[in-house]
Amino acid sequence: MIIEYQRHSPLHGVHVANGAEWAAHHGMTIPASFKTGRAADECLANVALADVSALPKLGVKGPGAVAWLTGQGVSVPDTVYACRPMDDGGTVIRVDTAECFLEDRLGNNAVDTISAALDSDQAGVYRVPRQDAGLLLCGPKAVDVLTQTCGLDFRRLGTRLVYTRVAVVSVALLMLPDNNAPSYRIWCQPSSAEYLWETLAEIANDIGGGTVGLDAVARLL
Amino acid sequence: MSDRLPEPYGLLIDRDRQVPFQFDGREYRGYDGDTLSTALWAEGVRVLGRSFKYHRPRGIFSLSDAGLVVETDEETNICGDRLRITAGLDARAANTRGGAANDRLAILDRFGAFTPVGFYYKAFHTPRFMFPFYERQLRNMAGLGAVNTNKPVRRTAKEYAHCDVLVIGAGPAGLAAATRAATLGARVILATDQPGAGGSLLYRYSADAAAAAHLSRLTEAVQVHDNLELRVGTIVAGHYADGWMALVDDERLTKTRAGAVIVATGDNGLPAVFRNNDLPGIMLGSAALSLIHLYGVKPCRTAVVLTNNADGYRTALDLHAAGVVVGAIVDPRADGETSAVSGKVESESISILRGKMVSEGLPASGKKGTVGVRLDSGGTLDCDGVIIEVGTAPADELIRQANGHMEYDDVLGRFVPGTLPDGVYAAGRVNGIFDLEKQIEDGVSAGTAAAVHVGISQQPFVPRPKRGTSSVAVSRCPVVAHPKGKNFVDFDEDVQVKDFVNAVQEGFDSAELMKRYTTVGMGPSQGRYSNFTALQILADARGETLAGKALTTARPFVSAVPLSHLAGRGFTARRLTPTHHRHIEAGAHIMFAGDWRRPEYYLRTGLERQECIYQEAANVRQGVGLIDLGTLGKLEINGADAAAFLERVYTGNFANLKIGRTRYGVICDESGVVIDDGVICRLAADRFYVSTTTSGSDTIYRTLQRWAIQWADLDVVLVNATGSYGAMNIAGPKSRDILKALTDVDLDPESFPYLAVREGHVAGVPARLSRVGFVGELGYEIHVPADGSLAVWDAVMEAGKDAEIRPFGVEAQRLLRLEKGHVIVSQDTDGLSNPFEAGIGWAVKFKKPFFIGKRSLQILKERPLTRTLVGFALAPDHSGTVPKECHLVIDGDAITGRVTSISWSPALRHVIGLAYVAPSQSEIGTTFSIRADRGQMISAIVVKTPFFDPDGERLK
Amino acid sequence: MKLLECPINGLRPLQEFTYGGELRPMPDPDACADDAWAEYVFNRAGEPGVRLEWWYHTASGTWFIAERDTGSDTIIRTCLYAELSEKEKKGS
Repeated sequence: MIIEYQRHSPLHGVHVANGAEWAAHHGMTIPASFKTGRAADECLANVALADVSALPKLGVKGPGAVAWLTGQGVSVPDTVYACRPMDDGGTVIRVDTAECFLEDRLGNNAVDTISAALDSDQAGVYRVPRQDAGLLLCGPKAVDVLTQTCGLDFRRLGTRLVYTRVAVVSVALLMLPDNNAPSYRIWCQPSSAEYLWETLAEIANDIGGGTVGLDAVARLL
Repeated sequence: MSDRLPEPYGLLIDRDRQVPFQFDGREYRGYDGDTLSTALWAEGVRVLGRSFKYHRPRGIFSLSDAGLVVETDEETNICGDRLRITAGLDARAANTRGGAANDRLAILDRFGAFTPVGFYYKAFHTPRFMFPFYERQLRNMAGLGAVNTNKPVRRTAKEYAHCDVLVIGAGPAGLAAATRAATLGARVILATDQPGAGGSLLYRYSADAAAAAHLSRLTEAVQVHDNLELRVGTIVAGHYADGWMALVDDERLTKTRAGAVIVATGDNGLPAVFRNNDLPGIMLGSAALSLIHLYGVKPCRTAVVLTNNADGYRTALDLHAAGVVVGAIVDPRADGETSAVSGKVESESISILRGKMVSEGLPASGKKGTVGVRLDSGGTLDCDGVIIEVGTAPADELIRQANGHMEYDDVLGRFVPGTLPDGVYAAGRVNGIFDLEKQIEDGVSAGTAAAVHVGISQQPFVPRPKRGTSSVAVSRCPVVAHPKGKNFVDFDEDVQVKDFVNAVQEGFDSAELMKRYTTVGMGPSQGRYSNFTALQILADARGETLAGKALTTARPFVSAVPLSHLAGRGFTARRLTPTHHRHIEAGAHIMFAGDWRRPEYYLRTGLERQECIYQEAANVRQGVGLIDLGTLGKLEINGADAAAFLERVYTGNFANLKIGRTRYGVICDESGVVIDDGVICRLAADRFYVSTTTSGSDTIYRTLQRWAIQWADLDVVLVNATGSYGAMNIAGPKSRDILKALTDVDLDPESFPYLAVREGHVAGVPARLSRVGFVGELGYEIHVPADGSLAVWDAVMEAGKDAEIRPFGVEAQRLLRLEKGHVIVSQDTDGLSNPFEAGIGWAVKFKKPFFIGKRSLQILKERPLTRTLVGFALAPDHSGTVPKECHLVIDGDAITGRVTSISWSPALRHVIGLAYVAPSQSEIGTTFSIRADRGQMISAIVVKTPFFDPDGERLK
Repeated sequence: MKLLECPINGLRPLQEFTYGGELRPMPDPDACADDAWAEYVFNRAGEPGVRLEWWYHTASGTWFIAERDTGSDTIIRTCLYAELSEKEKKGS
């Protein structure tokens, strides 16, 4: 499924209100930076929240899903919630025994290629429409935003995907280890995205950080 | 600052930093590190507040007393003993008229004899019409501070924390336990309500060199461990299930999950009970010692020490060393203290009055201080302070909250922990261990046990030290009765000895009943200083001992917690559709639909709400409108047995649904009650796309998931696509023409008839189009990926510009569907409605082996209906009151039903509605009555539905 | 806040879960008497005891079974429905 339409982030309306400078990635206009608010460097030195919903996503579910993906050259992790980088870029996460979630790297088109190969008469293999809002929380104080909003023990968080609640919203959360300070990827239903974004941004702002555009966090994607 | 002691007294204050502040409108100065109470005491202020009920002057009593309450412009009910002064602090005593020193309500003290506990309930309930007046007056006079409702909103963050071991209390036992657990590798949080670590080591063992060595060793050890976090100024206010602990500091509530909890909270001094035992100047030994050592403040000039234990003698020596004249030690025990400390006291020429008891405090003018005490033997002693060391009670609230059992120990004459729950430990004085070395040993043992419990360590069990005898009061201090009373047991609530006597006489003679009758222990201190004495008085009155007696239930919180901390940052999720901001731009008035926000209607300048709705509806009937349906639940049901699955879930038939067709479906629960409805689209033999109601979007998916698990024989793959798709409905006679220009789907009615579904593109976005008839016009539901919704919405609105397309909201849709007589599940049905009475029995197909609720519906079908949903109309010329939803249908004396939907219809020009009525009233043409506002009876007539376009001509 | 062990997602605070009621196996709707059906549909056992209950981990969408002593509010074990014995599924 090659996307040929103008995609919008679920946070588009907030970004408009917050003075975004736009860039196009994967068919979506997304903030490259913000004209208002704290400077990106200052945010990154504390905590920065970015909208990375533009990254192409694909869900595949069904009794034949894992075998089909393997046939597409995707090396699917053996255990539920394990993550693995794909050979052609991007990440594959096994979200259930019979369901996988794929997300591409910025600028890469591996997931689009796999998506295009998934036609609808494939028995036992079904597309899961993945329209999640994708957030990235990084910086040394990123964990402080999470401890104010989520009951998980973040010092014990491994590198597997975790389904939990952040600010009462159901999310999937993944820690990206880093030598300096871990970053966190958060996926949620697009319908809850604006509320979650505003909540996390407010806390980040309170502790010296704020929202940043994609330019500031591109190295992590 | 007349009453300050020189250094090294005053561990917590910084004498280089003076802090100006105000209290009751007067200027004072203290030092950085002072609390409001200690700074005022140093300034010679003795009346710090007024008591709850009798407005008696109160000074420092325990120095950790929640009973002394002040307020500022922004905060109310602050504990003055704990409030650290800051420059510019402007505090007032709470619940006074004119300040603590000259409270005009002090008159209430004189009427004390007429206002025993329970008096208000007995006196002020008649005449009934006066009660609101009484209540207002009483609430103004009794109670705590006033709430300033104009105070600025301060968002307080709440935080989560995790540790293996939480140690509460940083005295000798707590420090030892925390450092031990940390040494063994556990993540430890050590919480103390004090400004620093050390606990009683800082003030109670001043003459003990070994104590000083322990203090420096243990506080250093706390610094060393990276895995040990010391949280000062932190009250552990509650214990909840599975080690969930509420940690409260000035800034926030920290919800802490602890693998094991060590309670090392020490103990609290007990008041001695004699007349006027609450006068300013009468205080606990721990408070006097804290004032001296921590704050460098003389508790008084001349003291009488009332004690029945060795601690009291040591306290007398400390007072003496600090320059307080100790007039005498009064010791009720006939033999007095027999340990070595007694000799030391005598060598300092302090007189010891053995076998005597203080029977009365002698008040200064206005009871604003103490001028002496009367002894039970008759004589008096001059003093401006009475230091009380007559025993302690364990600070066991958290142990009891954790369902730990406290049992009375005859040897120690106090309650000690008995059986504790797994992972909860007590150490030190709260555990009945008093000797300093043994307290430390006890802490090490508890720290080890906790680390083993959480699986960090395999250390062998370290034996707990044995409880010896108590250094604090084995023999009881007598409770002195006095004909004039004012011998207080609970200072928070002004509960006196006679109140307990009354309670027992009136039959409230168990601990829990007595607590409720007298309100003992219900004040801000939660009975820390009063519960034990109260139990003793009760036991005495019943001629019993405390053996086998239980303390009253302890509940969170241990002490006052600001409501703003509890509220924290509110997390109220809201859900938005992808086109939400377009609605705002179009002037939408937003309504709540569960977590969702939806446009109720779009405000047009100069028009009332109702008129906007009518215009939106009319625009759909006459032209074209667009409504956002993104909130509908959307499920994909895939798999070889998807059709079989739907057959079991919905009441209708779906196995025979052709590919490319849609069908209305109803879901019942097992009792046959309608719980949801929606449209089922068949996209392929093994792929269905299903919509649910907005409110059912999460619950129906959940329910279907559960059935799928139980029906393991079915090959079915469920996907919750609610948020992943945006949806909208373009409806109206002009809808086809507008859509035609935007889509690659053939919209010709021959190839895309009513109730068909097609996949294609709209404005370049992959889309599922279906022809539905909810609003009763030609229309297309357009379901597209969420990230394409905005593009599609904009494209449709742009393409429809010439046709004057307008968005319409939920209200217009409700009106349009009402004109068609379509029910809305949960508006026109309730928690008991079955499909037959709701008029959707046609959607129930019994010729299938099974569906949820089938058996119940089979039974119900055989029974006569008790009510029926009918369409009704008011007379076309009806004017005046129009009934509302939920107004009752009345037949004679009986309620036979209610209105579920009602509106004036712009298409029909009269009022129509749906209502439940008795089956006997359901024939077309029957007239029935609706009781509207103010009891007006409105006549309605049953009419056939659909009200509008009954043959569905407009849908074609 | 109580903790509950989801067989898939591990030990989590109770807020992350939705209670799904007691596991109550359905009698054969075609064979059982009206009374037995009414008992199944309308009556719930309120007395404390050990029960098999449905719980749902909301964020991941995981249904599972918890065996709980409702008297002491202690969780005895948790497992997926598929892991129950046939006897437990049938409630006998």
